[in-house]
Amino acid sequence: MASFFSLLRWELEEYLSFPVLAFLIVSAIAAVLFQTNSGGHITSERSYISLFHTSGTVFLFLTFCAGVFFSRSFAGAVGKGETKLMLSYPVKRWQLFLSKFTALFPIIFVIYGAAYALLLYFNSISVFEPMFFVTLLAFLLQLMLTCGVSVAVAMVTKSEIISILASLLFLLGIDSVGGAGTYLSAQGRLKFLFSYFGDLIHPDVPPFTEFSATAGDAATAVVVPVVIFLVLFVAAFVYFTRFMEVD
Amino acid sequence: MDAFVVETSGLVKSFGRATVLNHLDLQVPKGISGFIGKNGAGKTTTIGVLLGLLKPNGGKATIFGLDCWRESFQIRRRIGIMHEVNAYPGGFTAQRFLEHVARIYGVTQANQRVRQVLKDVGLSDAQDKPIKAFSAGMTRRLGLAQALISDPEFVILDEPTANIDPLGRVALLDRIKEMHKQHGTGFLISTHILSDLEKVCSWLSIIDAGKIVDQGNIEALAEKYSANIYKIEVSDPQVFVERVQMLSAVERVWIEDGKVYCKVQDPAVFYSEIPRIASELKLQLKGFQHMLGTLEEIYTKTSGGS
Repeated sequence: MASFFSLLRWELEEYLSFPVLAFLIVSAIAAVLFQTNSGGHITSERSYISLFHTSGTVFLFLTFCAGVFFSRSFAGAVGKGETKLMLSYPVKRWQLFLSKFTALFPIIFVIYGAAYALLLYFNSISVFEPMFFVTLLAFLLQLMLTCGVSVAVAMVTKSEIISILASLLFLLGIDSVGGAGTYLSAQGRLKFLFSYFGDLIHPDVPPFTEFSATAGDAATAVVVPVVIFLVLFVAAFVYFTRFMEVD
Repeated sequence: MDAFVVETSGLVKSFGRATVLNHLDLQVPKGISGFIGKNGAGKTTTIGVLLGLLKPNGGKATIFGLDCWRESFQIRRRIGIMHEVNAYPGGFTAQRFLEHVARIYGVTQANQRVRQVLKDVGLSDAQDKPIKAFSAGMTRRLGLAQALISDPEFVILDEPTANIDPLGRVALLDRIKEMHKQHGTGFLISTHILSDLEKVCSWLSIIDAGKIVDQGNIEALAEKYSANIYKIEVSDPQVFVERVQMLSAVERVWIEDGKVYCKVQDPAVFYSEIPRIASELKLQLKGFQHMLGTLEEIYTKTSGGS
């Protein structure tokens, strides 16, 4: 395990050191502030519903940043010869793969989650508001989906730029085509989750008057991205650890 | 002959329809060995297979008797590697980078070891400099440092002198020689620069189109591929040359720096005739030496002159 933690430190220092980490934090705060300033209806509502309306830009920035970071770490490292260098040391392939994932995933999630918490302050919402955590769950699902797609594409293309473009086009394309009506799009999932949990937790202030989601809808909104993530992530993991040749 | 550290037999590696290694039978003893071949001959692919980065399509490759694909992890714990392409993290300082590598190898007292290795490769003054600010020569020396950080038994160097100036090349090769002398570290140097190997290697393996065309001790290969040129020192070279020219076994004779050089067609006849002629002309035969083939001659002959 010593090698794993050594690799984890290496990844953190290389991919999340000062300028890059600062960019990540600033992008997350910018996403939140941008949405806050652009939505006129937000400040007037002053309720948990504003969390739904302010999530759009955050989903966009989160998808973009996560796609870029995972593509850099997986495909970029192969393209630049870093993976070849690392795998020439006494490092097990699973250690390298999981160290990349472990270095990026929680940090991106925590940074975006923390930045999003600013909205609680701007909208005078309690930090214990359950719908805040529902929104965080939607972010987590989007991050999982982005991670799964980016890592899988990275394994296929082994090119940083192609991996970034392909995964972002795919993920943002789904959001654009599916809109809020599909389990595959970020806004769609949040809508199902928000509707179901909003009706459950705040029956006096329903989030949507024209739409009501069932428990099955909410469950499907969670299960679909999780299954996609697991399938893609496990496939990429097996390929990387068992079959991938590093030229 | 000592047991071979690296051994491949019938090694085949293809990428799609292109066969890069075609039944490669490589043998590398402990010591400093050269692995030579033109660009695209299969040197880097062979190294990839030896490190377990590429899976062979056929044949067998071992280092220390361990299978290079299945037991790659155990092999990598005992060897050091310097790749042709520099992929060191540019934002790290040399010290920080080597500390990371040392920790991966589980080196105890990593800081002390890093300082020692940096000193060994002549980078002590640059230890706090970011790698991206390094010159090509410094980066190659850093590559050597990371390959040596765990004090490995054997080190594989892929084009170690690529892109560095002649003085830097000499310095790097001197370091390799020193390491071998001081610590007994074995080296396999893959290169297409013949002059590099001439200075340091005792063993040579020549690869062409994915096959080993010849390999062995450098002296033995030099003997085998020599151009049949002999250097003779006599008391009166001019008189001697006039007589030797008449021998049918001799193709060409010339004088250089007061010594007689003969290119010979039939060495057996030549060997018996020279002492006889010297005696007949009452000349003192001071020296009689077979000029061994240079690496260039060996390489040209084995690789079909290409």
